[in-house]
Amino acid sequence: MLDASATATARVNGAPNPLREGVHSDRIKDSCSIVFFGASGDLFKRMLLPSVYELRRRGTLPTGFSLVGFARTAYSDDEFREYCKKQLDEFAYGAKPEGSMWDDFAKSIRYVTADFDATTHFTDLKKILEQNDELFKTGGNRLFYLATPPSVFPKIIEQVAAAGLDPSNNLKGWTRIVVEKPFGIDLPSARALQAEVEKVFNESQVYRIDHYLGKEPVQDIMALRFANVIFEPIWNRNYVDSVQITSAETLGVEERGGYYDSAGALRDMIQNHVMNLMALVAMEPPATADADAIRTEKFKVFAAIQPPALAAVKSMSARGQYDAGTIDGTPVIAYRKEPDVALDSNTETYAAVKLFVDNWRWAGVPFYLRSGKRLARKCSEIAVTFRSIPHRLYGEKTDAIEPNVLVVKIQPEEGISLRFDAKVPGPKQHIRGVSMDFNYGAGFGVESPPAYERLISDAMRGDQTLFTRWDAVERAWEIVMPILQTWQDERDRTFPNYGAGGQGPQPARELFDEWRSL
Amino acid sequence: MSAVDVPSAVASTMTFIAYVDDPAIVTWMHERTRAIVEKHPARLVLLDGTLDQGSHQTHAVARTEWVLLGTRGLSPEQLRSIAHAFTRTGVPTVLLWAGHRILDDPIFPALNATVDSLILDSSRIAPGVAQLAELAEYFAQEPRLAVQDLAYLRLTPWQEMIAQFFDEPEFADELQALEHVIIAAGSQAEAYYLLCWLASRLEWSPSGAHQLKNRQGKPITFAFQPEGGPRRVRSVELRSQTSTFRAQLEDDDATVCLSVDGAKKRAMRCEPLHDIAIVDLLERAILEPQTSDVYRATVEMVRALLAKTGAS
Repeated sequence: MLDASATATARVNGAPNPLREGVHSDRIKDSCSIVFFGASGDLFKRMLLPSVYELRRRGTLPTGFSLVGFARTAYSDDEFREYCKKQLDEFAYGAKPEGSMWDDFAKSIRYVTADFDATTHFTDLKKILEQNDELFKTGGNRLFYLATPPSVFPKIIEQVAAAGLDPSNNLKGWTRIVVEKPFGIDLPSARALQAEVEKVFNESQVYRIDHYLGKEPVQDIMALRFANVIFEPIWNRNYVDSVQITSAETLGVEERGGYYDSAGALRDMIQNHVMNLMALVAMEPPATADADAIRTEKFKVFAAIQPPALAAVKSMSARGQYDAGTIDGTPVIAYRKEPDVALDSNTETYAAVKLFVDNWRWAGVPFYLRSGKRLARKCSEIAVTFRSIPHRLYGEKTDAIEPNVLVVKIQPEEGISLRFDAKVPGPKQHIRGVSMDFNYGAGFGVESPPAYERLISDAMRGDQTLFTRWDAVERAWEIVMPILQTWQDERDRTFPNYGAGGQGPQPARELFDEWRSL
Repeated sequence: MSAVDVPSAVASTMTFIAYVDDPAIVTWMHERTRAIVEKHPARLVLLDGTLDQGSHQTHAVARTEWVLLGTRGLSPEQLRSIAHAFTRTGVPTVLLWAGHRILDDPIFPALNATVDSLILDSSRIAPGVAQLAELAEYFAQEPRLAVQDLAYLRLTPWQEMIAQFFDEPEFADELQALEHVIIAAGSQAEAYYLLCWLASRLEWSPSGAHQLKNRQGKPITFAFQPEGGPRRVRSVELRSQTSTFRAQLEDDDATVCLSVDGAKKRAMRCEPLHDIAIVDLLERAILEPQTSDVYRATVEMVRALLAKTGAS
């Protein structure tokens, strides 16, 4: 839901601008400064800066705007502008920085060389933001973006408050904070981080980012369900046999071995990305399209999922770790041989869980969630398998009449396919399965804008729809904690238990023997 | 003409009928319309008035299909009938009209009768305002016409930038005190549209060949300067007694720099001139087929102003 300040028109006094009526514009109405904590890091240069520059290039940024970098590396404003230009030369996905457009954008870039432990540097930031209000007409509006390692989040939040940059001290405009994933590494750490956050910010000011939710196809799920009447009547336990949600990668851990070895697939993917997909599939239609209505319905799904009892973890989940193998004809090394990974690592690179949503709509329908690295094919999808027909009328004896399957494809293809059975033309009654495909990417020929572009602009607009609310984050941790605990406490001596380039480990097939082939 | 066997497309969002009678732009039309149906799966029916009747081609690729028909020599009724035969049911039918005339070409009303919405480009054929004048006249006769003129859609970023000047509360009064408008553009249609959009939003009315008056009856003069390539606006200047608001296209043709001079001078800033490629405009025209009240008022103003200026 847009907060009150964001719904104000560009004019704060007097009648609305008559030239605005009927003029199509994607421009963000509220002017603001956006502060990137950790602006010398990888996330900033590869994703965040290119996204902001593209928003500028498309004319989406507000008229009054300033980008402020805040990091340990020592730069002057001009040096940081030069740094940004260099990064954009390499990482911009639209036009490169040049000409009047870049010159104009560069003017709005400021920098604070900072030690996160020094309150004075946050006081310097406050002065710069106040200058920005005059120089760039940013209207007192501030968006803080935590692009640092998570361990620094609590310190930054504390210093923001100590320097008087907290929302309660901003009488001129709004103050919001974007918190990068992961939000905690388990339930206690997530609660501890939230305790720090809520000392300074209320929930309407917090934007917990999960870039996966900014992807266009993820947003298409709700449109598919709620913009069409044909799916909703059968979207329940009476017609659905099972739901499987897959997020499979061919990539290994790349340069993230150090981080990944302390995280694993359950924390890195299932607890956030995959469970959010599950919520979009299982949620009730929200009363309105505003952020809180949608996020409330998503939370209700999590609230209806019972965390597995410790004794049931083995029957409700499966884990795996990749060994050496071959992907696309290229040999790849085992997980334990990856840089910064322990030689005897117990970290799972594959996780599968079976969950039930104990409510009127879904009782008894299993939701199978899986995510893994170094699998046969890159594939993110949701497959809703419907029940078999109650009575067979057609088909020769040898014909298998398979159930209908609706697949929402998220990546690399973006679209929908529906599998149904049809009679083969001719005098015999042969029945054959056919798949009807619609591919969004190809169908509309539009490349989806990168998720960060969408999410940054949403945060500037005050739209929290695609950001995760605390109650959902907390409940998702509660659901996976018994599994995390068990996997942490019990080493899996079969690791590595699946070959790179394969379908995943044997225990996953024991959990569910009808996984769709990768 | 015999029916043409067209394979079914996998998905379809519309029937897209395009009519062209100018050999100079046939290839251009083929390329642009195919780009559109590549983006929006559709049945494209390209009616080519430069080819003899009976000639045809059909193509179907993974997600779209297109039909090219030579239509030279066909009567308007035959054309209407053919267009109708190729129309897919259950999805909207959109006509892209690239004929020379509107009012005096009987093919136009014949085809227009079969479609849900109409797209044309009143500055495509010539730098003058002949086709815009015809459109304004036709619009007066058919006020319920669902039409999108690419010449008008092309102005969206300019409208947005001009509006920006007056978002600042300090400039709200200046908007009501404008006295002079200068528009430099390569085609007159865009210049007229921009002026008349401004005039209709601010409730000005035509009072002479090169003059309007505001709500208080004070005169507002305007000048059009032919400058730059066809269908491109180069600059817009709005003057009040105390301020000059100027939006100037840079030499890169992609950036517009905005300045305010006078009593309340503002630092120059630059904005991207985006979404003016023809395929982007066509896409918008397709996705937003309804004619807005703002556009209706603008066209009415064009008609009223052209009646005063006698331009063509």
